[in-house]
Amino acid sequence: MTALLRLGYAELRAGLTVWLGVLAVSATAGLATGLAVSPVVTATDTPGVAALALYGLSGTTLAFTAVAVGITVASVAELTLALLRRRLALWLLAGVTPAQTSAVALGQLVVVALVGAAAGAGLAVVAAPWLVGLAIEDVAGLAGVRVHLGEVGAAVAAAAVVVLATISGVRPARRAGRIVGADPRRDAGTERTAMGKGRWALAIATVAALAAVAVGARGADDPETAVLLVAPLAATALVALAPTFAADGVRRWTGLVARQPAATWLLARAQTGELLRRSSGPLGPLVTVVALGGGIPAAHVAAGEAAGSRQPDASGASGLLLLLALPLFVTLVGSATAVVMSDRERTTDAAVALSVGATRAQVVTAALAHVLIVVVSATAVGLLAVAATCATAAWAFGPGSAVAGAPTALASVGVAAALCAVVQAAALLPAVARATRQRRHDDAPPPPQG
Amino acid sequence: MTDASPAPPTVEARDVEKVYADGASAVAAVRGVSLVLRRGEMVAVVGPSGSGKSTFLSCLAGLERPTSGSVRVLGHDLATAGARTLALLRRERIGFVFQAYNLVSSLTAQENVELPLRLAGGRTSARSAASAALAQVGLLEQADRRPAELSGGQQQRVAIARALAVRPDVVFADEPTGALDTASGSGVLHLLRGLAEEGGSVLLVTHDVVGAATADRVLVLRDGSAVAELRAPIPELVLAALDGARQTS
Repeated sequence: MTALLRLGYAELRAGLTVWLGVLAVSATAGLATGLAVSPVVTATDTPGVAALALYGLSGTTLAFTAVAVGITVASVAELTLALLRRRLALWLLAGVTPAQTSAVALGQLVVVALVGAAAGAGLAVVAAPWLVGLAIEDVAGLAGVRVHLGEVGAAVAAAAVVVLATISGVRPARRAGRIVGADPRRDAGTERTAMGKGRWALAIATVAALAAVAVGARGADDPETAVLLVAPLAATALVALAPTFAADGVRRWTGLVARQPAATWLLARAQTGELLRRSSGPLGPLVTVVALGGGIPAAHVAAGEAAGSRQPDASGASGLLLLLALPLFVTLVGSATAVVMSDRERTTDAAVALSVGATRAQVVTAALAHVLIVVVSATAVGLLAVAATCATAAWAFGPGSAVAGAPTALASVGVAAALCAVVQAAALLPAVARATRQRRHDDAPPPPQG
Repeated sequence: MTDASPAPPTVEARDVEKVYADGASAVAAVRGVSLVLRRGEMVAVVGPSGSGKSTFLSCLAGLERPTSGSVRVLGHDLATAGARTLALLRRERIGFVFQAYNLVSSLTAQENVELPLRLAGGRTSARSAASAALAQVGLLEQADRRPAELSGGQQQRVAIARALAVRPDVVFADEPTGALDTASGSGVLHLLRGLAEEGGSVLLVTHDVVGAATADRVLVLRDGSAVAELRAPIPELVLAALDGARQTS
């Protein structure tokens, strides 16, 4: 037992970049969940109409934040164990049993997620009165309400994140401990992410819920909420189904770009495809950014058009801000973290490319091409969720409202995609610069390592 | 070290030294070693573990900058050549073969071999040249496989195909057979020997006595210094030189 604890601790230190990524994402998730929960906690000891307003605001905020947190935490947990699988394969070679390997890998994930989530939720206790209070101060009926989270609310938020990380990590951890052939290291290099029963169940349940919400939107008491729910439900279904189409889809569309691609496109295309074959984690948060970033404004504008309003009201804008800000914050941090976590393999490939004659400019161009491929792919998938939102708005409010919402949807998708690209590039370029940096008094690239 | 061959030199190293400084201590990995490598020649560098042979090869290949001395490769002084010049040399005129293969894991064998050609901008010719190189190493049928799907020997042959595809003037090979079985290693050495016979130059670092004996000359290092040079060596002579180097190091 002591040996396994030592092994787990040593591997945490050795894979520091990856585990710091998990820490960052779980802290962000804890913060966002805590902030989303704070209106509910505040409502429990707020009298009268204000409580009703708080419950109304918190319902959709919590739902959207939960979807964003769920997708991001699950994606990063899966990516973590995929990136560490080769290292875990060495444990098997050293004689650690498959069950022990799975247990230690999952244990590491849970411990790091717990530390991060607790820190994030603790920060939410301090930040909620200021951040959420600022967001709702113009909402009718909530002037003067003092938003708070409290220790119990923070504990619930942290626990939710840890449970999510644990559930998401069970299957990858079990796969990491499984000996497939004679050489676990070799099998770790060819392992592919696949749809498990849990993923299929989630996809089917989400699609069913989506269909029910969409069909029931017409004639519903609150059609705007129903239309708003389409984007997060569709994003969840698409991310759950990603292993069935992500890697092949990227291979197909990038293969159409040029019959004889430049080396930089070849490298970027291959690296992105390989990453998505091993884990759809890098795509999940980005799809969510695009889906929510385009779908929520589209639903809001369509509902406003249907209600005949010509001027956006302040309470609507504040509510929209809260609805968008928390999910986008979580997913953007998740997408940037996924890039940083995949740093080591990118560095190795950059060193190999340099050794066969790539210039630094070509290595940087390949990295930017990778960002382009990931963002374009995620945007294409996220657009399906936005299209579903517009279609539901047309069903619920009439075609005119959907048409009114379409330009907003497209503009919002463009902004969301641009934001994703900037965040990904900002996370990626320092690592690329490190991989290609000149050593002191030396123009040669670092010799590739085995 | 003197040289009587009339063929033009591809690599000229004069009094190469490499010292690694770490705070107050300094380690001299290579001490004043000279070597001239000519066209059509294969030279093996052997020595006990820690003798500096890999460091010496890295200095000559431009992967390490010597602390002192000079290295000229294909007429270019590596000390003054810019980053772009070095990149172009690596891409078009120099091939590298490492013990750890160093293939891009996400590319297929075909794409790995095409990579330097595409980096040079030769998109249309890259495919045919890569296919020819893979056929030369007997791996054309595995062209669509990724490195993880190939054996160690096959991966090393892909690495050699990548080095050969650009039709380099010089190949630097650091322990290319170190992780291979006897048969695979023999095949790799045969390919390198073939390159030299076609007019290229090969500098090979190896601890394999039989492999070293396939070279035209063998340079023996000990503690960073050159202690012997064998011409037209046979395995027994190489082994004796190595034993001598080990006993006195």
